[in-house]
Amino acid sequence: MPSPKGEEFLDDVLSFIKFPFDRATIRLELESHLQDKFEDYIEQGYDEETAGQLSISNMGDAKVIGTELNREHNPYFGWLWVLTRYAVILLIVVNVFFVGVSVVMSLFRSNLINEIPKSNIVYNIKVDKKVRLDDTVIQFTNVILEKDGQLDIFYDYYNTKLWGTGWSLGNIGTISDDLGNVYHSGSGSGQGGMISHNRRTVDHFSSEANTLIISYDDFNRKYRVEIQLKAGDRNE
Amino acid sequence: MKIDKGLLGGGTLLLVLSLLEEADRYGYEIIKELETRSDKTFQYKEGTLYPVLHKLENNGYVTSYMVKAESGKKRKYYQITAKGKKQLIEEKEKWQTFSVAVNKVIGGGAHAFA
Repeated sequence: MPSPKGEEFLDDVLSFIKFPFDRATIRLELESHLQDKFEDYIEQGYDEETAGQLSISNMGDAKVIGTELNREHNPYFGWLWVLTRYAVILLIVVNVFFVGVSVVMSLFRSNLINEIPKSNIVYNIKVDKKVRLDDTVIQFTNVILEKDGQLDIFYDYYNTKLWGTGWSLGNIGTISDDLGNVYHSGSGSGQGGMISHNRRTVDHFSSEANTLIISYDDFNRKYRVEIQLKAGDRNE
Repeated sequence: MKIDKGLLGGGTLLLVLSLLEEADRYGYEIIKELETRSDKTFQYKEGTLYPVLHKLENNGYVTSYMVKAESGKKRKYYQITAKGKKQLIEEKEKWQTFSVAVNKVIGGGAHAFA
């Protein structure tokens, strides 16, 4: 720690520096200089008081140093810099917050599959098939056959234009199987979010069927997805 | 070529950049080197070195970093940048031009520099 006179000198220099954020480093730098000089004088045999006085007077005029330093720590650009930095941080925080919230919410929503009791499941096939309708990507994730003959097709869809609201997907197409059965009855449900999680169910699905076929042909847009039912991974 | 007379006496830039070209140094170290190497011809008002260093930093000739010494003392070290090295070459050339010109005028050992 510098002497009270050293402190006074430092205060004096810093009083000329208008930009507050640089004051601490400037003070630290000058303070360690005073301290080094002081220690050198002590080593040379000076008493503490003289050493302290000499090290301060060697520094020069506090006003000259302070004014010159202030010129290099321009408050206008300094403030601009600080404000820009905070604006960028704020922007990042706001973005992370909004994107984060919707990502976290979509995570919590993704448990549609867990709504089906395990004991009801005949098979649960993990699927990884993607199709695209304009800007909307549909990804089939799971097909579950329940003991009562209900087949659940799980799929996510999202818009490739990140902030596009997209249109909500009403219908994923006609559901049929390799035995020639076409299933009309059933229901659909879904949950929104950046990625929408959905379930399409059909009733009385044939347990004999080997392949599930989903074909879409509407508004001049087409796709056809075939999902192997008996060769995939199964639970029980 | 003209001599830059800014910076509290034109030669300071050349001297400080030269010392930083050898090694990273903190303020007090620079002052001590200047003093001892010039046989105390260069005795600065020590505090005025810092505006010079901060100006060098603002111009991008040097960068700085903090080091905590074993004694617990924190020191701000300065390091010359590529831009600073380029500037140093220029300053050296200016100095040569200057000293040759001075020697020619005073008629001394001008030929030794030519």
